[in-house]
Amino acid sequence: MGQGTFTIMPQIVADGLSVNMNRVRCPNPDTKFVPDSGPTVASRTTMVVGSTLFDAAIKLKAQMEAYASEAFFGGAPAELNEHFFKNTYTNETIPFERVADRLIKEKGPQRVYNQFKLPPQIRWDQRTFVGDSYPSYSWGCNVAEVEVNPLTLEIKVKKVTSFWDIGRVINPVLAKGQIEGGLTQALGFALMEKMGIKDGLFDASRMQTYVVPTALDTPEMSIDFLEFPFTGTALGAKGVGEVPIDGLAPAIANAVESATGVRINELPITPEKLLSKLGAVV
Amino acid sequence: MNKIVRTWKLNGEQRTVEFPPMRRLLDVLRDNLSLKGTKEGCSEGECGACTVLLNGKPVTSCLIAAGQVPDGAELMTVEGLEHTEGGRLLQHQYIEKGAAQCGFCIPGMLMASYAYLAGADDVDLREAAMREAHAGNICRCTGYEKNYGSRERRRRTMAERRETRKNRTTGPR
Ligand code: FES
Ligand code: FES
Repeated sequence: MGQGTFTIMPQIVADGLSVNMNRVRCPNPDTKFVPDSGPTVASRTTMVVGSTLFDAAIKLKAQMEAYASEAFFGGAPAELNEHFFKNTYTNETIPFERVADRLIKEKGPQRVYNQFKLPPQIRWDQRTFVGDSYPSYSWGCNVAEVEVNPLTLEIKVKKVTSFWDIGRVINPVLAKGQIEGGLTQALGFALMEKMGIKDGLFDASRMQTYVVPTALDTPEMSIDFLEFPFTGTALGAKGVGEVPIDGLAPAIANAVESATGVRINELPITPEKLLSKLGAVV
Repeated sequence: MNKIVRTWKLNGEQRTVEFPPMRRLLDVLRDNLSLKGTKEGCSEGECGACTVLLNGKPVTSCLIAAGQVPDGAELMTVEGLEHTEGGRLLQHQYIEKGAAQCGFCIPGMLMASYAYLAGADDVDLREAAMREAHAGNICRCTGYEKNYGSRERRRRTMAERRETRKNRTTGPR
């Protein structure tokens, strides 16, 4: 539903297989056919499903190379590279289609099975709740520059600078978009989005009353990655789903404190809250 | 309620449609004319997902009674974009930038971009103006930079804009 799964999963499989991405199809997952892989939580799809697929693709590649070696190269090692299988002794090449056709005719469709394994250094005891419950974490650093109008106490975020370690970045365009969107939401939580309960009903249940940032509220954003591939899997990717929303509101709160001298501990940081605190200070 | 009949120039084609006059333009487009590209987000004029062009101007179709739209009016929905040079260019730029995540805002967002860029001769392509032009469209997923575009994208747009206006099938008169 927009998280990019159907783009990056074929990308990862194509990478593992060393074939072009348009050779890979990614059908809609159906619980009739796939095992229960746990809940949709903790931005784990890329790391867990991605790694599972990556390792499976590598196994499938080895399986096809073994067949090419035996059926076409008299036992000499074969290497799949985009459109060809190459005999690595003689550099002779055979088109992918020829090998694949014959393989399917002779042995039927090729299947591989693979299951995600926690890296061995990760230990978790479900009875005592001791250990590492997650194999890795993504990290981010946010810098917010804000301006507070001394008369109206309105807060304007002028610029956001951020760096992210999400392991190996699979798709920079999508990853950046995810972060920009997360920062935009975080900005809303920090300064404008307010949902209260009045007489048992939400007091901001419509878009007229629940105000979210528009193109006029979002500041210039600088988003960069520091790529430290996660060492626990061959793929090296971590998650980027939730992490972009976590750090900006605290960064804005810190910036507002540095500008005004008062600290607001409750979101959103509104001029009204600033006024009551500043009133107490003056 | 009695129905009324209107003939509009919709995405470059003459279309005649019959509907109760107070039906929202959004519903006439989606249900009577089966143009499901236009989306309903908030139903109260806040989100811009239902944006279409009425005589070249972006309007929120959830707030317009279709009976208010007179015979001969020009309407353009997101489905009409691919028939224009500028619309296709815009689609490519959105794809290139990865502008859509869930995509729900995108039909309206595209119409806002198109209305602005294919508009008057002296379109202001500076960032503040581009932001203003997209301020009526809310996107929750991807942020906005991708929609109002990078400086380089706006330069390219400027270069191809003349082409756009020559070839467009509908737009401001
Ligand atoms: S549905 Fe019309 S503005 Fe939201
Ligand atoms: S892409 Fe989801 S709301 Fe804009």
